[in-house]
Amino acid sequence: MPIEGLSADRLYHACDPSQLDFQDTGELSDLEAVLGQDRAMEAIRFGVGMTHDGYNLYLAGAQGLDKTRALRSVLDPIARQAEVPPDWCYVNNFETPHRPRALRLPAGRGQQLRRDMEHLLEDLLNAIPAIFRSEEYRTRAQEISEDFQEREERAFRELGEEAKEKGVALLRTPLGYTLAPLRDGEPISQEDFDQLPPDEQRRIKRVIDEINARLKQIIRRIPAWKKESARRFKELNEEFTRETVEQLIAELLSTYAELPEVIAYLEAVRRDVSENINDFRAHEEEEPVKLHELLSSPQFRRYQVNVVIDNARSEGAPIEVEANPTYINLIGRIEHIAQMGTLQTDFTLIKGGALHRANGGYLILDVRHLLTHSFAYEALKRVLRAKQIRIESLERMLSLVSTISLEPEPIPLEVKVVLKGDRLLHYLLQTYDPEFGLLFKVLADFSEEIDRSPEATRLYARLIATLVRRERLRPFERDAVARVIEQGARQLEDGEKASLHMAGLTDLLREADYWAGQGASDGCRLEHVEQAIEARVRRLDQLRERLQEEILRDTILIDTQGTRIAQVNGLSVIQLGDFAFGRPSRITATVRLGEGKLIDIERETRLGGPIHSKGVLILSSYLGHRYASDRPLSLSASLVFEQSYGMVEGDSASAAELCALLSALAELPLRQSLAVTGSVNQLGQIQAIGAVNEKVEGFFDICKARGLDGEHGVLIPAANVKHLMLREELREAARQGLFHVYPVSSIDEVMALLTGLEPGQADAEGKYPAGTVSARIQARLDELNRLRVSFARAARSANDDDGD
Amino acid sequence: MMMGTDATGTSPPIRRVLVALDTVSRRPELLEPAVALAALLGAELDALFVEDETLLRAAGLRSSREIVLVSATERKTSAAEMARALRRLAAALQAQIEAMAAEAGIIHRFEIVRGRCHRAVYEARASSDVIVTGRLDVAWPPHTPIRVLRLLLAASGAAARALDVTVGLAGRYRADVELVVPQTQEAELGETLAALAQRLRAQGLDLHLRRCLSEDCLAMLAADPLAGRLVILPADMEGIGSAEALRDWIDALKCPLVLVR
Repeated sequence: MPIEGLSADRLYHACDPSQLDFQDTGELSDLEAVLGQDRAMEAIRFGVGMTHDGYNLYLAGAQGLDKTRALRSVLDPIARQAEVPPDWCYVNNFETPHRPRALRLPAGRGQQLRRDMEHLLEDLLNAIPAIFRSEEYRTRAQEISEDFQEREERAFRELGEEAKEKGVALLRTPLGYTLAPLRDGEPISQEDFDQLPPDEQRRIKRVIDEINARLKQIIRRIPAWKKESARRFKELNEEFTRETVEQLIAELLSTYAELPEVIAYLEAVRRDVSENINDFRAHEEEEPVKLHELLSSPQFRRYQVNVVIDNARSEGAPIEVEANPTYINLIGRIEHIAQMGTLQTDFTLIKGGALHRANGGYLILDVRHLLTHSFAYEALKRVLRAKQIRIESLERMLSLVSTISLEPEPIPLEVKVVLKGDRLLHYLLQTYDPEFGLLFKVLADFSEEIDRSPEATRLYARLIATLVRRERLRPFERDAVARVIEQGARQLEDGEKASLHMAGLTDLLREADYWAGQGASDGCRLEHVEQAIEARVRRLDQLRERLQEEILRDTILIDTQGTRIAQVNGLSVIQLGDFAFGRPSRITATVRLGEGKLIDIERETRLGGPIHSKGVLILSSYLGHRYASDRPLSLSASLVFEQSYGMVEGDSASAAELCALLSALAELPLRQSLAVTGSVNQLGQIQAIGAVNEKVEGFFDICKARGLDGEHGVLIPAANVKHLMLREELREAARQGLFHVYPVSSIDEVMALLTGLEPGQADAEGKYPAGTVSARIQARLDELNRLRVSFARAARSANDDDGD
Repeated sequence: MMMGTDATGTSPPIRRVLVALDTVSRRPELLEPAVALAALLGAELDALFVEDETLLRAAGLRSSREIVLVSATERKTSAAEMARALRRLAAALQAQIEAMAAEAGIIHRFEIVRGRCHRAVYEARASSDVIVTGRLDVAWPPHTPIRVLRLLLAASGAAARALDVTVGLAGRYRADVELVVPQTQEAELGETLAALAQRLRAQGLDLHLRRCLSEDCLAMLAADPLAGRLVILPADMEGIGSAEALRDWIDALKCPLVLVR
């Protein structure tokens, strides 16, 4: 039974506009649900609902599937209803300043505490100097000063007077005191001293020694006096400032009474202010006090509050999307400022990261970005394991620098992390990272397609209407919507499916809208969608045109007429980013006497990929199974993609290669007006291949350019018929009988079409009817066998002669 | 701020302020008001460091010892070593004065002489409009500004300038003024007192009048408090008619002393 070409209507799975009961998308309501992602949505709802450790999510699927929107459709309402997480602040740790304290406050109270502390400091800076300026304080302070000064002054004065009475002067030197004998109220010289009677000299020396000893005693007492004076000053300061400080802080203590951590912090502030009251006093002479400058000055920065997370304006739980998940963007960082050539830092320079912002809610990350930033993935896992965010400087972690740094108190973490990425990365992480499975237990696997059932088509139309409104595009007419659905199927390479690739779909809608705008149309019509598709192809297909041109100019040799032995038009596809196109390739075979070895020249030259090599090896297996199951396969054959200068991969040309091989073996001419695509198995069955539309159109374009005569066509696997979404020009040629697409299921059907001969079925004895393809093949194999046997005998007798 | 007049008429402008320093009077308590005065009056600052000859003589004794103040330790010294120590002290003072003068924007000179400080001050009366000196055996406690200005106002040619200096310093330090007036001259100075009170009131400052007998003036000026007190004297007043008399006053007051010519 000869194989018939497919009718034009089977070459394209059109979307019947009658399924769409609207005139344009303006009539359709928005599609709230996520179309075609039931499995993924169930997983998301499950993952979000699971509050146990490790139930973080991985959204798997290609880019453009709008995974984030699908996720947000579940997350947003849940997050809105959730409790607003607390604020987090870093404050000074007065006992160990390099370990700043983390304070947890109810949402909105962090900024309040910051302002309250600023006001407190402002009040202290105003009130304390005023206390020190008061007459009452000055009088009391003066009493202490004078006590000390008078005691010291009196001690030296009395000693000086006593010394003077005994004829010795107490003199002040640059470093201390010295003593000298006096005469007439003036120190005497050595000469004058030498002239004194020896008794007088001894007396003076005795007096000097005695005064010296007393002087030392006085000097030794000075530190104790100073200490006592300082103690009295401190007591005085405390007496005068205690009330003010306590009163000011008491107001805050009552404001934050229900927050014990804050209370403990305020108590620490009170102690620190009391112990460092002179810091405030140092500014008593400055009028007016420049409060703004003082608040940020080094000695008062320690009273600041660094609000790392402010949820004052938050509604519900946060949903944080970190587009640049570097280590520091995730974990936070400790900044430094250069001072006098060194890098300094303090708790006010701690900056939170995405994990801080997402704490109490959800963090969405692109897994590819996460993995491409050094240490980010490891840091994320460490944080999730520990359930707390510990800000560690990367430089310190790697021991790259040894500047002064901080060890901020870790902040407890409660977050649901959602990773987005493709399936491959998920499987790789599952395979190679034992921790991944423990931390990301929920896979939400996004589908890229849905069946084009009537119901799904109607929902898809609503999805298009939703996207049109969201993008503020012109309404799409019914025909235009149908064409968009068809183009999605074409992109998917499956006429029975609709694409869920939202990015591609939205791009097509936008581009059609552009062309509608160019045509001053109020709505998007079929022609605008067609224009958008053609324009996109036009933008991308320069290389395709060049290759086609080289074929038409016979630089690349492709026959499209007549017959040739051992030569077949195979079809390959070239993928250039988003754009793919098919091109015919000449495949040739040679056969000679041998021992069953089939040489794949592509593989031998390392230009063939493993799948291609597998396909070629299947051919020899097919030959042996079909024609030489009870005898040796006495041939050697070579196969090659002619004029191929790059890698050949895939097995979609294996059927064509087998045809070339069989033709070479049986010396049967093959029709060059036909091209073949399809993979073949050991049993000679033709199997489905990818990119069938591009391959068919690639051969059609060449044939059309040379002139269609009704002989041209492409043989495709019957299993690929459902994938056909061929363009209108080709369908029209098929309608006119100028071009044919033949669905084939076996290599026999292929050979029948290419040779015009019956393939032939073996009888009970394994013999094929004369004149059939198989009979000729078997005859040639038998001949090769005979030759091989005769060669073997000749060789053996030659050996025997040599032995004699 | 230039201050050239008082209520009674005009007084010649003050062009030179001298600060006289030695090992005893090398305090910031003296330098600070001297620089402030020069800046206030638009005058030049002459700094005079006196290497005390008695100190060098005492250090020249074979048995001379120095008791170091910060450690209460005793060490042998000599005239040469003392001279070197004085030069180091002078250099440090010069650097300090240079920095202060630059900050205040005033012209200054620095000179070193050997002798006795009170004699150098006494001799400088003829050439300097204002002299700042004093003997402070003990430093003032920290954060002690000048809080009390004591002015001995006697009928003299320098009275008008002394008033100018007093009003300027009182404004600078926001200090109250205690005016010590010999009882015998109170009537004669009535108009001047009223003018001074008015000028101080204009700055929101108080004037306290204290009458004294001539022989009690020094005791009244030297009365407590020790810290935060500055005394202003007309340079031509009776009682400091010799260098030794001036030394007695300096020793007795134990505070910064401003002599106005």
